[in-house]
Amino acid sequence: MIEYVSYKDETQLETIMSLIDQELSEPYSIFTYRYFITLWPDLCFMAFDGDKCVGTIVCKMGQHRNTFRGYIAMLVVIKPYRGKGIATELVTRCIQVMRDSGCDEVTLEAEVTNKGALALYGNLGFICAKRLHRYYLNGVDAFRLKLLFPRPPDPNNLFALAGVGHDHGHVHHDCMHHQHHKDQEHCAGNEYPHVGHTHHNP
Amino acid sequence: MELGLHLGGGQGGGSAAMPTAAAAAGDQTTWVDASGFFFSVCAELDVGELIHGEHFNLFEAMSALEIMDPKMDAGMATTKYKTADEAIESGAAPINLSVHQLVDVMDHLLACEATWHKGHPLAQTVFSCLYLLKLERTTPNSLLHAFCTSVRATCSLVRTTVALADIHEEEDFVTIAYGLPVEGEGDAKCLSLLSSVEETILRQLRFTKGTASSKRKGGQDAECLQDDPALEEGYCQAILCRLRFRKAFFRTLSYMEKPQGRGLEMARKHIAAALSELRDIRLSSAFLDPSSNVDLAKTRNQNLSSDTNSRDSGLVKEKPSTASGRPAVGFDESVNRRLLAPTPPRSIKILCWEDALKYFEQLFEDLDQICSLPLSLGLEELLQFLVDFQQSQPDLFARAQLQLLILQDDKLLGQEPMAGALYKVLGMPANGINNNQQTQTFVTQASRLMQHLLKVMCTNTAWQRRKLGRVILDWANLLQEVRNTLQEESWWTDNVIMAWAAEQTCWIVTHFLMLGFQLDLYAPSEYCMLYWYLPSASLRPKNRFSFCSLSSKKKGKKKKGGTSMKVTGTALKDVKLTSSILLIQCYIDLCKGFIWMLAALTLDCKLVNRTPIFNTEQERFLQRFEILFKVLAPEPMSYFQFKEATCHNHFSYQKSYDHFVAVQQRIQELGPAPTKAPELSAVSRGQRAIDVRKMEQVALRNRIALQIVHQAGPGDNLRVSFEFSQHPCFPVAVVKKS
Repeated sequence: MIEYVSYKDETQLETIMSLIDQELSEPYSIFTYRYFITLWPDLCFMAFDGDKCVGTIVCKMGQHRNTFRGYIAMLVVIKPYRGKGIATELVTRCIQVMRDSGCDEVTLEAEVTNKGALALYGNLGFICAKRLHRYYLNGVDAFRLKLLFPRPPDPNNLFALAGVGHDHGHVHHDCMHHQHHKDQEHCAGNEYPHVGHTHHNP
Repeated sequence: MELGLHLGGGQGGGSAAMPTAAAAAGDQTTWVDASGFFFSVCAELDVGELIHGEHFNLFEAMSALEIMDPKMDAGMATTKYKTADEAIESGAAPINLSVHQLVDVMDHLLACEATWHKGHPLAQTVFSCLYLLKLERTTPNSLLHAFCTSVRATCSLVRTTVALADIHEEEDFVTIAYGLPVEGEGDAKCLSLLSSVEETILRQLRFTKGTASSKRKGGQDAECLQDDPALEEGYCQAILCRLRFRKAFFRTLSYMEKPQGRGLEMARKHIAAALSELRDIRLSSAFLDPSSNVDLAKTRNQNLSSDTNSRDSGLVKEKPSTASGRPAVGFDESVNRRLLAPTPPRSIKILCWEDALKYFEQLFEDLDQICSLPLSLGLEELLQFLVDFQQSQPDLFARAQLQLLILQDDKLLGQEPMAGALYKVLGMPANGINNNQQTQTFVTQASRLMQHLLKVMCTNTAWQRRKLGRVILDWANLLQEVRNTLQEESWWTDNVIMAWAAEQTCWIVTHFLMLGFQLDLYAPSEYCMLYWYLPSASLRPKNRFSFCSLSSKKKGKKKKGGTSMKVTGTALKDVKLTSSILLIQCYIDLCKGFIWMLAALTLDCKLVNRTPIFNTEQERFLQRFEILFKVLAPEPMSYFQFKEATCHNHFSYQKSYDHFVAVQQRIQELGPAPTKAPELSAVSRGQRAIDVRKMEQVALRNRIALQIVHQAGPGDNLRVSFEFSQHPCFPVAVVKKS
């Protein structure tokens, strides 16, 4: 039985770091982990089999231009535990938090060759919004995946009701949705970049 | 304060106890070891406490690199040599090379060059060559010197081209030199250097082939490349074709640079020469590495037992970057390590010899297609060429060359200003009576947009599609402006300008949507809505009928096989169906075939479509098409329209079947016409032929699939999936038992 826990404090940080370090090729400093996990602890979950951590997810959310957007930064499940739906469960929990916090959409990048990830996110409602040429430093392309949450219908805008957005780009927020978000600082226009990664995502 | 972050030293008394901004260190500064103090302060911090500067918090700290972590610290992963000088002094780059070593250096350098073109840093590719880093050193070895100089000169030309074209942002092609010696005085003289050493080798070759007596006579003058007389000819040939390739390469680039396309014909000659030398280089592999002989290897394989893993037998090694299979001397990737900060150190893989050859073969084929472009090509035919040219996925350098050619001097193909080309396309003389202020404004704006569009069409397709999203909005604005300023309802503005602008927008939208298939962006659950939206973008906008009566008058002026002919149901009998219309109808029928097939399969429960938990089909529809809702043409379509059109209580495979039949019928009517359209470029004609064949296969196979599905009866007794095995944008249904 896998147990899912929300991040509590720094004592868990080393577990998360070593798990991600051994599975992903990008080098992250401890400050990178801290940035995400300290500022958005609600968006960090770990999967335990007994007292062994077998999977983890790290995310953030914040204002990005006109939308309030969630971002999945890292997702790891160790090899022997793959194919059991653990990753799906970790992702689902995060997306639920994002949705309940008022996010309009969720986004992430994945290698075009990562069939498992693409299937996982596709089943949850993500589409491949963009293709990023040679995004990863090994030359592999990436997809920018996006999940759009259902919008409440705007009775003043019949066109929008018909599904045709007239005022595209001006999403009206009910500010009460934002009481949970912790992002006090300005989110850079770019998505979280890899360390030293020279790509810019317009 | 953000959650979890507190200023340390909470016991002490907060910020008041903190010292003010420290003074900068100077000669008078006394340094003390603060380790003890540092660690005792750390011990006082609680779990989750962090000390940080006022304007430097976790977000800024993310760009930190941990010193001495080999994953991040560029200096940690060096080999024994830290600088080029150190390597050279230790003998890593001898000048007195045997001919075998020289050929290996030439080959590995070519592989490095190809790797650089593919987007890897100069410092780790071409300039990992110690000879290139200190080119003056190589003067005593004339062959080496000539070769290296030509490489540097060529790379310099390539860099300039890519920098000028400015379409490389997303491709990791770094044009900045980071202090590497990328230019040299007198590099343009590399041709004469090459010619001179070529002469020497030719002499040697002639001597080698000469009779025994003449050999004895001229024995003193001979400069043998190596000791074994039996191998001398082979080595001469190997060196010769490599030298000649470099000459052809440099000459090609020089001619392509000439303004107004004046050098294109000569460039083609040198491209042909380059391809010929590449063939010879390939042939020399058999000589330089006898074990590379395929037949020989096959015989060896047959002698092994069938269950021997080839890896175990040691036959499959890492592929070498030289023809001989030996590593080249004189290269060291790590001497430039320090130049590569701030990126973390990455060891890159130089292309193997086979891939390097393939790259250059493909490059010169692409350059040949570019040089064959007729400079009188019409604007719309040029756009079509750009689409067709990209089918072979040309690399950055080829596309950069193309971009510079088509927009040279801000003129279309270097011939005439964009505005002039637009007047032609609109069928107006540039200084005609109808040329009022509004028309001129329109042409100016449209010229700008068209130039930008042409540039975007030269970028890699992934980036291209993203750019096209913005481009669509620009054209939508243009169209809107035209409509708004349409005060006097002038005949020209309404019919000609409006229709043309609408048509261009439709073209861009169609291309934008089709690119998504080629980039693998779409999931099967999205196919139906895409095929449903596509035909509307291919159909003409409003005022078709008025333009139709116009077009018969203008038939004489516009000789296009492109998409300019309009057709409506009522006018059908009046207008002769041209091959271009038939082609468009093919696409539309294919799309419709898919709409009805997908809708029917869904209703029949034969499609695997999971319902996601976080959103519905409506959100995904919005995501895909929102960008198109702002345009006037093609007319935006809503999700509800989509559902209305595709949701039936009864499904029928017949409707879909009929459309696929229609596709085949139209293709038959088309005959060889698409391959003969004289106004298209050769590339486009070829691509049309391929396209038509593929569409025919798609239609045929889907008809068969539909028959199978129909015969199986209703219900989820079968599972249908789709594969793009024939055409990149139109799949074939694959039927399996569930």
